[in-house]
Amino acid sequence: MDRMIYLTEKRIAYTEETTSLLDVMYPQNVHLFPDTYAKTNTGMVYPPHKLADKVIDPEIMERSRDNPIRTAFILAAGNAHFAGLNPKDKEPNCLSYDYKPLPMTLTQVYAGRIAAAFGATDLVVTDASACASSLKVMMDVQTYIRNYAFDRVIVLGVEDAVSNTVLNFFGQSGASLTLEKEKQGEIRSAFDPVNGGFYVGQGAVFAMFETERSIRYSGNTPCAELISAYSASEHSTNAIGQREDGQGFKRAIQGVVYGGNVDLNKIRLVKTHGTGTKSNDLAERTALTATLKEFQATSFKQRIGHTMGASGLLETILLLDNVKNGLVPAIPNRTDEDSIFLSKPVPAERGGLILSLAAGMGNIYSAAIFKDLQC
Amino acid sequence: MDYLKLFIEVAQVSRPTYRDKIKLTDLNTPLTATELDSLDCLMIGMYLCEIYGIDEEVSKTMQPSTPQGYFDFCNEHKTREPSSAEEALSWIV
Repeated sequence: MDRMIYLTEKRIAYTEETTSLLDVMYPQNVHLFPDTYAKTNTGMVYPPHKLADKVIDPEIMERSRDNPIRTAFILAAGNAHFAGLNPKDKEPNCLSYDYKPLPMTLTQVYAGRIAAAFGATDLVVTDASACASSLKVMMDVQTYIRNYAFDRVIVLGVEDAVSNTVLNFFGQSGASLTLEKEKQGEIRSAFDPVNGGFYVGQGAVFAMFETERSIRYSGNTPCAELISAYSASEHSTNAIGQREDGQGFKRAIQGVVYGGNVDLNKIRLVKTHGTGTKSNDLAERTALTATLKEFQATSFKQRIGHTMGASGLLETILLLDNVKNGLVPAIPNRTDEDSIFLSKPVPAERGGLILSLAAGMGNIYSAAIFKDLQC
Repeated sequence: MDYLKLFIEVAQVSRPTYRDKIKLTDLNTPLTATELDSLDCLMIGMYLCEIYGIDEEVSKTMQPSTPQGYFDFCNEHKTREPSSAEEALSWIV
C-alpha cells in the first residue's frame, strides 16, 4: 500500500487589487505588491525574494528545524526568472532592477539558503516547469515520499511574474489583457464565449507535505491528502502553444487517475488552469468533458492574476480554503449560465476529491488530486 | 553611530527568514565565530556598501574577517554617511 501524503502547513500570498502600469511597452493592469519593488533600483532586493518572504513563516521554520525527519526542499521557480536580468538602463521604471550579488540570483543557491533555514538539508532541488511548476512538483513530492523514503517535503513556489520581461512578452503575444484590448471591450474570464484572458500577477505559495511518521514528530494537523500527481506532455511542434484537442490535459488527467487508482465518478470539483485564452479554454474544456462525468470547475486567474510558476499549488490551496468556508467561487465575468464551468458560486461539499490542473509553456500539463480532510 | 546595532540590523535584513537576530556583542568577533554563513556575509557587505554609497566595483574588493572590518572598509571608501542606524536602514529596507 502506498504511503499517505498529507498537506499540513500552507501559506499563500496573492492580491486581488489591480494596478495599472502605464510605463511599460504594453500598458496593462497587474496584480502586484508595491512593497516588493521598494529599493529595486539599488539592486539589493528584488521581487522574488520579497514575495517569498510573504509566505515563509519564521515560526514554522524554527519548528521545522527541530524535527529530525528526513526532509526534501523543492523550490518551484517557474520560468526561473531569478537568474534573469531586467536591464534598467533600457527601461527605467519600478519593474527594472539589477542583481548585485550574483550568487543570490541563482534559483538553486536561493533554494539552498531557504532549505538550510528550514533544516531541510537531505535534498534541495529546483524546478523550472514554467507555469505548471508548483503543481508539477506534486509528482516529485509523491516520488520522494513513496519511492525514496522521505518523510517530509517542503515546497516553495514563487516567481517574479510582474517584470518588464514577462509583461512585454505576454503583452506582445496577446496572452495577457492589455489596456488597449480592454478599451476594445475585452474582460477577464475563462471558458466563456465572449470574455477571456487574465492579468499577470505576483503570488507565492508555501506548503509542507508530511507522512504519518513526520506528523507524529511535528504534531501538525493535516488539512488535505495528496492522493496522486502526474505530469504529461503532448505531441506538438509548437512549444508555446496548446493542442486544441486537449491531448496534454487528457494525458495528465488519465495519469493522475490511474496512478491514484481513483474512481472518476468521485471527482466532482476541478481547479482549472483557466487562463481564459482561446486555446486553453478549448483544450482544457475538451479534456475535462471527455474524461470526467459530473463535475464543477472554477478558475482563479481572473481574480488574482496569473501567478505563473506559483499558480498551480497556490490556486489549489485557495480552493481548499474556499471549500472549507463552504463555497466554490464562480469564474468571474461569465456571460452565460453555466453549472459546470461555474458562472455562479455553489455550496462546497466537504471531504471530497479535488482535481487540480496546470499547464506550462514547453508542452507540460500537470494534474494532482487532493482530498479535503475537513480540518 | 552605533555600529554594533547597525551590523545586527543589517544582518537581519540579509537573512530575513530568521526570526531571531544574530547574537553579537563584539565587533571584533571573527565572522567564522558568528552564526553567519558566507552568503550572509556577502549580502551584509553589499548592503553596507549601499548605505555608505560605495561604488559597486570598489565594494567587490571588500574582504572583512570581522564585523569591524566592514566598517573600516566603509569608512575608507564612503561617499555618504548615515547619521544613525535607523537612517541607514531606511535607505535599504
